[in-house]
Amino acid sequence: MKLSLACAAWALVVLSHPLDSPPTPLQQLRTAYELDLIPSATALARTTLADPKAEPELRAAAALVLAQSGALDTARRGCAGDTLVERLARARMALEQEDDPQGVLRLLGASAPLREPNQREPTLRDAASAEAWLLCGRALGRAGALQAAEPYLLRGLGLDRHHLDAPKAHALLLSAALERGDTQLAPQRAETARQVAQWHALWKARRLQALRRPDEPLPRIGLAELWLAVQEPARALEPLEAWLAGGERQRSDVRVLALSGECLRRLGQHAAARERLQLARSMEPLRSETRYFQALVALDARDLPLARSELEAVCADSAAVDGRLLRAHLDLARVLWDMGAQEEARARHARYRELGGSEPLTPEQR
Amino acid sequence: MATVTTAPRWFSSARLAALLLLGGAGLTGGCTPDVPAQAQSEPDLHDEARARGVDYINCSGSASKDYILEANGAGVALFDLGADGDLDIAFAQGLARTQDLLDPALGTDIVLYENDGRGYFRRLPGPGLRGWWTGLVSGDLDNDGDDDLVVGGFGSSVVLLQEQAGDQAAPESAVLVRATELTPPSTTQTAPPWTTSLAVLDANRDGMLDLYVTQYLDLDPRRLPQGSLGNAPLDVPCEWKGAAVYCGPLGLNAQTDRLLLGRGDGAFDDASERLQGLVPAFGLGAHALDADSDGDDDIFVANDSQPNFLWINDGTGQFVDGALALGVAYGAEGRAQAGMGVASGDVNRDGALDMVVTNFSDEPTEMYAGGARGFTRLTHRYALGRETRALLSWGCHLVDFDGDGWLELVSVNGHVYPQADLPDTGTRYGQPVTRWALGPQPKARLLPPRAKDSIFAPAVGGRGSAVGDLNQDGRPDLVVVRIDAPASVGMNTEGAEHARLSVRLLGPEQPSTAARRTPRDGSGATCIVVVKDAAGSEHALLAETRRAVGFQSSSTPWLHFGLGTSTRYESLIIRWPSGAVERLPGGTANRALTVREGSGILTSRTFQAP
Repeated sequence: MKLSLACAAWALVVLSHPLDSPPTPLQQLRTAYELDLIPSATALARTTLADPKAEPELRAAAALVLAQSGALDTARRGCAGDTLVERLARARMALEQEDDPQGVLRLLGASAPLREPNQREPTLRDAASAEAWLLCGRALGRAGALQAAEPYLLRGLGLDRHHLDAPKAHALLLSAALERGDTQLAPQRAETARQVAQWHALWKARRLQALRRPDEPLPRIGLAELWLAVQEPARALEPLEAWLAGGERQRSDVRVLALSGECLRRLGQHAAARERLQLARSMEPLRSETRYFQALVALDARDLPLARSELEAVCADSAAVDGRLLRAHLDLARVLWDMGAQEEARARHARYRELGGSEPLTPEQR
Repeated sequence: MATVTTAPRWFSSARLAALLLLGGAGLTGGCTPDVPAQAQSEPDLHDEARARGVDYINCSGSASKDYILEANGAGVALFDLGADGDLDIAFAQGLARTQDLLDPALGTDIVLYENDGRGYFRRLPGPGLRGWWTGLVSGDLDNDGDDDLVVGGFGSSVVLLQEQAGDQAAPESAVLVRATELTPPSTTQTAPPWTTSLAVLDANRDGMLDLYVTQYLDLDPRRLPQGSLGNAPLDVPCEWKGAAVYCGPLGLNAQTDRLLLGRGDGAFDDASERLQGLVPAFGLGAHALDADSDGDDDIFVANDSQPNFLWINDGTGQFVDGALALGVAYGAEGRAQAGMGVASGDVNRDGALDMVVTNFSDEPTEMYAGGARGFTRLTHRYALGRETRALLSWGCHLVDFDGDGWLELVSVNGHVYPQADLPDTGTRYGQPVTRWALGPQPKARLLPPRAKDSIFAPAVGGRGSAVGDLNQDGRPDLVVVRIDAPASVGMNTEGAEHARLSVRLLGPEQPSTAARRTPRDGSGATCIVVVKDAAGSEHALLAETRRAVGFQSSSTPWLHFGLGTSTRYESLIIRWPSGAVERLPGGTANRALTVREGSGILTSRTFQAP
């Protein structure tokens, strides 16, 4: 997925830096804003805005922190430029601090949706910016123009489905469907809104945990798993690689090694994935998760016998009842089916269903 | 039975000495009084608590607010003790430390004040309760024609029935008899029940008042949470904006609200199964109202950090949660807010009840306009997002204090975390009570304090609050519980140029045999006052008789209308809970009318001089 510049900047920041290097000022400011740790970054924000040479991106991040701390005027003055990031920051302030939806639309060069709510093709000065679309959509939503907001929100989510404002956008889309009595779409949107809100809440919690416990890999593993759950292996790899770059102790964490191997596999980097997983296996040979990831590498290579042996080992392990390994039972059943062992495949699939799985065994059944 | 109340045990001589050393200035800690200035000048709501004999000082745990119970503070009820026609005051009260809950001997009583009829008060002996008390609500629970009281608390909640010891109507002849303990029937929860707000309503229209009991969360005084919640290393630190604060509500177990059907004698039966789809939630505010204008009592519940409930009544006392479908479950952008208090009124004078819900800092006080298809959020169109985002608000009211015919929004504010006073949090621990005009312009307009002794002036955090005409001058007054500080009694001197009308709606003295009946105290009755303005055009002012308003508190049953410059009203239209509708002819303004269903106007008196 192609991200706009402004949105890419909002991607996971602070946890992708190696443990032995401090976060950059931009990372600090963005983390403070996103995780509501405002007081930790206000001094930096003031220094930044006092520096006439500060980059617009930095000024924008600093302004948002200061606005959230209550210094709205200082924030606005320090972020008065016409660059996209600065206008986005001012638009966000106009939306979240000043209840000024017209101001948001004006700053972002939106066509006149409040006056012409039925226009089919909304336009925007910075049409490549997911954040601009989303802010305009939110502004329209707050002004009560939910139907006019809808195309803006959809455009924004189309450009960046994981944007920080995505939970809000999905909630407004649900409200728009409810408002027009769309009983088919509303339940789907309700479910999507619920899932996206839950994902973002977990993402924030894991980031906070990682920040509070920099020497603990589990929150980073949790972050990576969240990204994998939404098919974003590159983003999943970031916090793991940052951890592994931390030192000898970090490099010997089998859980991080194994999961990073899976991220590499999903990115199509099979050789690197194999290497990572072998290293993890050498450290803890019986770990089921590592073996499962190795089986997936073998499956990608259509090496069914190897995949079968690894999957059988995984499913025989007592850890196989863990929900995280549920899919290993399905994969084993399908490998057996593909290898012609249909009776065995059915038995394995039955075990998979018994453990709570719901996917069918064969493509025909699908 | 009533017992003599001694001085609060936490107000020891040592504390008094400490206060004197500090010069008595400012808020110095839990259970320590603040000293308000006394000076009356401009029209305002002047805090005359001391001068009028109200010396209640709230006690709500440690000043550092180590545990969540200490942050929520207490409620207040205005009710008529002694059936002498004026409003007396009951305050809930807490303890000096959460850990004191482990020693039953350390429990405290509620605090009562008797009104002399002119708005001056004398402290009365309390009813002899022992506990940590939170919310209060009043209503005629035993249908004997006087106000009773329900007291919610941490650990237990009780029904106090008022009985008259003599023939004379007077507070000193009244006793509050402990009638019923509202202990949950289920013993599945290990932590004590924690009741916050209580609402009286008539769920099934049998003419007997019922109770909605809002429950908060599990807090075990023997194992108080601190530092973080969950298991390391994936525990979640108890932090707010990076500062360590008390734990909860998120991460703690929510409790389940209850619906209790009254038997008409002060006893209740649990009927929570009538709340279809009821789930545990961090409930804080409860307010009965006819949300869908179908003539029955619905219930809005403001939940903390979880979706709100709007229990829609099918007319028989069976409820389903319509909050999501009617647009009041979540914030505008789908986030569950930290709801605290709730009030209703016809803000835009369109004949449908509108609603305000107070929330946490960084969340707006929400305003919803009632209509045929549910509620429309007007929060941001009224600029309430901008106006309220720095405030953490609790009690709220929609009242026409200045009598111009347009409702004002009052919110009682104060942060839960003393850490709000750390630099750059964007908010403060102590916050003033704030008020906005909501009409005729469709934008909230802040009404700043004008007098030095204005109830809106001091930035001392408040929690519960109640509205009522304490001195019977026709102008609604405001009582506010300030956390760990003296209560405020705001006497209204505004709107001398405006005319007013006060109306008290009462159900039949003898219960009828009809299928639908009006409760004797008129709970749920709606009054519409038709007024003609100077240009000759008519408008209608609508209000419902509701006691549970705001947060953990109970306001007057009188309905107060501002008539602006009109010197008379054109007619009264009353919709009784029984289904009957009465239209009464107009009359002169500046009167207090008592109307009984089927009997017309019982009494009509002019207002007292303030």
